[in-house]
Amino acid sequence: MTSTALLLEGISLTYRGRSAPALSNVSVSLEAGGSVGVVGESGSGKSSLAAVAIGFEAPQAGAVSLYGEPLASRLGRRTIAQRRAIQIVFQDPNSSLDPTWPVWRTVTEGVALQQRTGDAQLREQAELLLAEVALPPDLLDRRPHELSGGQRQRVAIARALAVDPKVLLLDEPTSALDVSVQAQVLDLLLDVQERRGLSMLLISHDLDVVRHLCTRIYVMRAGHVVESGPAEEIFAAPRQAYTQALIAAAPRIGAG
Amino acid sequence: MSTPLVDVEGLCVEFRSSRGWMRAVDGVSFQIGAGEILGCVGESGSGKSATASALLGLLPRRVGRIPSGAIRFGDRDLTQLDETGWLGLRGREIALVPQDPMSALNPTMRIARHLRLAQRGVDRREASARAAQSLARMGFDDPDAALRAYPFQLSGGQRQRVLLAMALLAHPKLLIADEPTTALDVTVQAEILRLIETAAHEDGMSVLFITHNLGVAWRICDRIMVMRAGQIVEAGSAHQVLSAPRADYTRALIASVPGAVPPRTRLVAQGGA
Amino acid sequence: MRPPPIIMQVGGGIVAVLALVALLAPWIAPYPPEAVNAGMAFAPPSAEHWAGADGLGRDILSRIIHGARPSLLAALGIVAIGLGGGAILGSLAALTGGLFEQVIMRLSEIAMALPGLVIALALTAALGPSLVNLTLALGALSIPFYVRIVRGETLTLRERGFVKAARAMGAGPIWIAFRHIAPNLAPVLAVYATMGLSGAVLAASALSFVGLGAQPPMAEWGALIFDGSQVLLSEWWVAVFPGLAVAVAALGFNLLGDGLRDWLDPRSGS
Repeated sequence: MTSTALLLEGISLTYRGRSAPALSNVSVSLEAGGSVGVVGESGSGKSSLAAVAIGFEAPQAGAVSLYGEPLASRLGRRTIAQRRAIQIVFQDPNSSLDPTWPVWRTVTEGVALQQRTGDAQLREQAELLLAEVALPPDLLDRRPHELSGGQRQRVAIARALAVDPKVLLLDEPTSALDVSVQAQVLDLLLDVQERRGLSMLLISHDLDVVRHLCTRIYVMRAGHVVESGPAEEIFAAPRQAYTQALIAAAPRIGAG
Repeated sequence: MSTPLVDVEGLCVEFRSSRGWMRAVDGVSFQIGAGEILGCVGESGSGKSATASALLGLLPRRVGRIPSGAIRFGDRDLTQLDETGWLGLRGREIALVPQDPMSALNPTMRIARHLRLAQRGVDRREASARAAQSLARMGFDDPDAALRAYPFQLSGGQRQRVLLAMALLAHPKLLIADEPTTALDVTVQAEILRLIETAAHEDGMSVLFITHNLGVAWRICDRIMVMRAGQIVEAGSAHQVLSAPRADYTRALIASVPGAVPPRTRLVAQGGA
Repeated sequence: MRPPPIIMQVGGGIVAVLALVALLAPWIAPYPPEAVNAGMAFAPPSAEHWAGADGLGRDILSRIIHGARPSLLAALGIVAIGLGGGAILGSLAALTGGLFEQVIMRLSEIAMALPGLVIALALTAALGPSLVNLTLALGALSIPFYVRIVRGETLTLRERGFVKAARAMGAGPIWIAFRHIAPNLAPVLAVYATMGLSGAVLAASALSFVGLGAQPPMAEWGALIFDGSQVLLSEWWVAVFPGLAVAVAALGFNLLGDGLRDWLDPRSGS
């Protein structure tokens, strides 16, 4: 039996001031070394799920656990080791990097947080991290506005890898990128996963991206999981009408 | 095609930068026939949006210019048009559906007023009636409620449908759709694409459809031109370009779409796309 | 870095000249500011007295040059108090939230609903008219303005991806406040502070004009304008030249702030 890296059980979340719940009784499990996709349209609750997993939002009901160890719902109550075990890459590469920080500081932020480290040493580590995400060392002193969208997203991935996470949450990591850049970033994510044995939870509205990266899929709508199962099965024979509509609506070369 | 509605020849567009005038569109020629949907496919920096701006007379003054080339629209050359000429054309004969629906609507005006103003020269009561009809056609369950709403009260998909309704109410000869569905959910996207297709193929409206999404281009376009670095690398029927591409760049672009290769295999060919 | 825009160069130039004048006043002023010369009473502008002389025959240009120091120092003091207080209270309000934030924000709103200059007038009168008290009063009254800016910007920054990523990696509130929020806030505040200096110069002169600031015989621009206002119709130069100094200073800070905003905006070119 494979062990479960991240388990969300019976999560219900209603944002303050809202009547409709963002998540109702949602359970998702991510096996160690696996890649799970959460697909859904806007308002489905898929991003809220990531926010709960990482501790940005505290659900009213449900439990989050990491390798069987229960996690506090609030980020501030988790131990540093627990916090660093789950990292996230956001959709918008513009706001996910501090515009006042050079690349080398950004990618080694997690190292600097852990212990006082000299700049020279941080730069050395930054160079290794950039190499891992296939960026050249001459980007070390650039600032985010001097990078392309794809480079920014690689920097964000390198920053997450710096703290050696066990679980990587990817919230629409390629939605803002051109297709050829998206392809490079998806390739990189597969490489990184293989090299580090990471478990990945991918949140996306793009069925093709999810299908490409994930072996298991959860389809969400209006805060509920409507269907889940192995990716091949869901794409080959979706059981729920909503999943069928979603797959049919996605325009694909050669379809229709 | 006997006489195309739009005939662009050797169009160049330049933008001013700190290093002088930089060419964004470099000698592009294409035609759009009546009722035809021409897809303009490319990535950021390909020049597809600059081409659209030139066709709308919306190049930023002093910072953008057309050094050479012609854009024939009917019997006029749009590159020679002054701002008064454009005012008579834009929103009437040439309409735009932009990418960002929020900034394209006036936040202080109700939807009804937007739709009324889109129909110039139509009396008020008639215009209101047509506005309601058009929203119903756009798939609004409760058009009257939508008419009373302010832009911020609508979802992104609803706002995009309002913009399409505004564009279509003017019965333009040419619709320029600039990534009109990029920000939308797939189910809403499918609906918008269907509406544009109907207007083109049933009412004879020509469409320049700008997109970076090859699946969308396949779904809606009759013909496709692929742009890269300001030039057209390949043009032809949608079927030919996307299923039997001739240019290496088009092939690489198609290969980089996930779904074209088995899951969890490399998308970028070794050696780079 | 890109070259600064023209208006910033012009504004910066004006401000630099004013700062130099203030620093070097004793060396560049043609006459001592308090040198009375009865024979020259109300002398009009001439080669000897470029800006004329006042009722006691004191050289107006020299008094304006010497007046730069108290006038600009008062403006600096006002903005420093407002900005400092605003930055501390505003960022604390945004980062702590809860009751503290509520109290701070309601108090700010009340303070901003009051007519600032009138309150400053009353406050200075109560504390006793002096340039220091005037600076304290105007500075304290500008705090709410900066509180609102700092809190708003901090709340926006707190939701940005890089702050969330830092929290996920274990960063605490101190790290986030000093490493992420402060550096991103600094350029915004620099712009507001420069603009604020323009308003502060005007406000300080206004209060000095009504006698609540600099006390005679100290040369200060507002006080100089007051001296001249008695004889404005006959000996116009006594009031007009100090007035010009105030206007030029306000304009300089305004241009500098405007240009700074364009220049620091990372979106405008690279």
